Amino acid sequence: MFKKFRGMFSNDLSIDLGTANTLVYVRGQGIVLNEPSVVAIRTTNGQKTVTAVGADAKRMLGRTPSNITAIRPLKDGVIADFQVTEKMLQHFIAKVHENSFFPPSPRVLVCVPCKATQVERRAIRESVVSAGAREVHLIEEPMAAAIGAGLPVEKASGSMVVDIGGGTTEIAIISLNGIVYAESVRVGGDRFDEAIITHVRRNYGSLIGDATAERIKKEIGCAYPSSGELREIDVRGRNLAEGVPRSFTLNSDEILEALQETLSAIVQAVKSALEQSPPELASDIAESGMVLTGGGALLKDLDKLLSEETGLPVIVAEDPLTCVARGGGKAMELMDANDMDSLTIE
Amino acid sequence: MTSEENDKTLSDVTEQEQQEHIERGPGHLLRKKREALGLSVQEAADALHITMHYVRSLESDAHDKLPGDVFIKGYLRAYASLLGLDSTVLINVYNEYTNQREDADMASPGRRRRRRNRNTPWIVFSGIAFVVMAIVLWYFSSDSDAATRTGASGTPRATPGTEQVSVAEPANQEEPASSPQVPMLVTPGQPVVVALGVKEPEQAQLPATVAEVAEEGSMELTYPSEQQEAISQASGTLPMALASSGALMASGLSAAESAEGLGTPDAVELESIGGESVAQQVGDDNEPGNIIRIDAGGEDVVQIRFSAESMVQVQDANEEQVYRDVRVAGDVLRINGTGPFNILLGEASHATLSYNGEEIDFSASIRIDNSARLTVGL
Repeated sequence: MFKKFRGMFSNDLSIDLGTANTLVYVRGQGIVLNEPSVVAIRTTNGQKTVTAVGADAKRMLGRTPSNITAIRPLKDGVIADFQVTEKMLQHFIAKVHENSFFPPSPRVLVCVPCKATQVERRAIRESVVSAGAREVHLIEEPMAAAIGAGLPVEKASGSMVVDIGGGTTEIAIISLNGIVYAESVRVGGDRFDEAIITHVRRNYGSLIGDATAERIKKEIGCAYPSSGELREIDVRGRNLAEGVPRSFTLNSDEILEALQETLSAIVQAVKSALEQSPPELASDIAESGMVLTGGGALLKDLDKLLSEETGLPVIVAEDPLTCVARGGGKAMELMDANDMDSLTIE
Repeated sequence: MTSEENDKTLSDVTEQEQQEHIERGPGHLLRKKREALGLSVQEAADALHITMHYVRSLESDAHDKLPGDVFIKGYLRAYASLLGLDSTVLINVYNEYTNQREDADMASPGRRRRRRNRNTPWIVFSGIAFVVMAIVLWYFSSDSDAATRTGASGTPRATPGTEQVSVAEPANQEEPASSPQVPMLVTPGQPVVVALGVKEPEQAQLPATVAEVAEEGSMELTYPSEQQEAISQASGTLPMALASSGALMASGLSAAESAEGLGTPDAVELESIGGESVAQQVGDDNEPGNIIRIDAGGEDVVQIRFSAESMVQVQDANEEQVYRDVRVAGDVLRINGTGPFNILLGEASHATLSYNGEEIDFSASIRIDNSARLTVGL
């Protein structure tokens, strides 16, 4: 009963618990938190304590002494480390309610990958409850993404959404508030980074970290050969043969080449989704096109690649990074307004 | 023309143009540019992977024929990059254009409603807090009510509509007995009532007052036996005090009535409210004694001194009852009124009577039951 009372002073939250970033949308306030899903843990005499969470912890990734480990508790969109995820969520929920007089007890809607197993969903649900939520709803990520992007999900016409996250790419065809077809491939932004690291090691004999790979991807990464200028970036990495740090220059074409394999996996998944879709919905999608959301959609010319490959119009949603979290928030409002649970899953 | 002026003119033109674009919608920009590039609608549609129908709708700003906002923006962005236009400008123009057409009022009530919803818990909480505060305040105020009244007794105030009565503060009690001291109504049954400038009679009569008054005013509560001793020493009390006593009592009882005049009705009422007896302690520690002063509004003074308990009833010339009570040994009843007075004494042999300072012998009027009825001042 007291939890309910406390809940009156907590906000309804929509959490996009992503592999790379966790976003929190507060009803009526918008996105209030966007931090990397990273937790730094210090071990002293066998006792583990959380040192940093989010952006602070991410800066520690790959730069920690032996007693601190910076870890990403989510892998491929699902919880890999239950306890650390719980700590992270606790931290984020408290951070959102910083000005609150009472300890927060919010109603939370969490987005889960559509192909998450029952066990994985239960793990997420329990993590959120342990983090202090009084009520937990789960929603499939592509559904939230579609709502967040502003697709007409409630209409009797097919909408296709491709959500490229850090760990997974979710493809779904939605009609009448339900998912008609969904596919989840464990390819995402992280795979792009890995591909860049592999490319650099193979071609330059140098080792670069995750953070550097991500920077390369963001600055010169692209998915479609551009007719225009060739962009370059200077990076430093440890030379494997000499064992000393070396500086070298990468250009956008070689990064495109490095990303080919991963990109083709996404294209294949999209094509297979189109193949699987019922003809009526396929015709709707052919007419209006598909929408890209998630951080991966920010990869330059990814829409162009998909458009060329499928022959359909491909649209990048506005502010694709926050689509899922915003969509979750909107879904919560819709559920409250219409008193329906059809958007959420067990 | 300087370069600055050039820039200014350019920006002016751009602003004007932008306004024009917003009014006309983004479609004409696209069509103009496409025609300038020599592209056909079919070619544009092929490059964008959308139907020719959609391209025409985009160019004619027929946005209702297109699938939805997110798609329109996507098509516009793609079309802009195909034609080499700045997509952000085009999207801005589109946004402004649609905003103009939208009913601006539609958005604001929604926002207001959300805000209200968010405030609801705080409203509920503050409501509860208010109720709790009110209860706490009420609890403490009912406790401190008595204290408040005690405080009032310490600081004499003039009752509105009542004759100003000069009364010394309790501290003055220890001064020589030349001036009238804090008058106090003592009823044996329901002992002490302070009549000092207290506006509401009900308040003045709360029993809770009694003990506190006694403590705070460092006054002794004089009960019958003590009063007798006191009266013997208090004989030198000033007439002025006597004169003011009526007003004091009246103010303690009924401010409204006393405003009309300090007449008999007040005194009569006093009796009925006062219960068994109304004693007034006057004087200080050096001159103890109970002098009951009644002012019924007249020149004549009748004084009855009691050496034993006796019932006494006094009527003035108008045959109105000025006083009626039981007095105890040591009491002195002093009545200012209009003579002649009709006096009834229960124990006449234990009372001495004086009228305007003259002793009156009424032993002849004492009846067999030791009572006496006499008229003085004829």
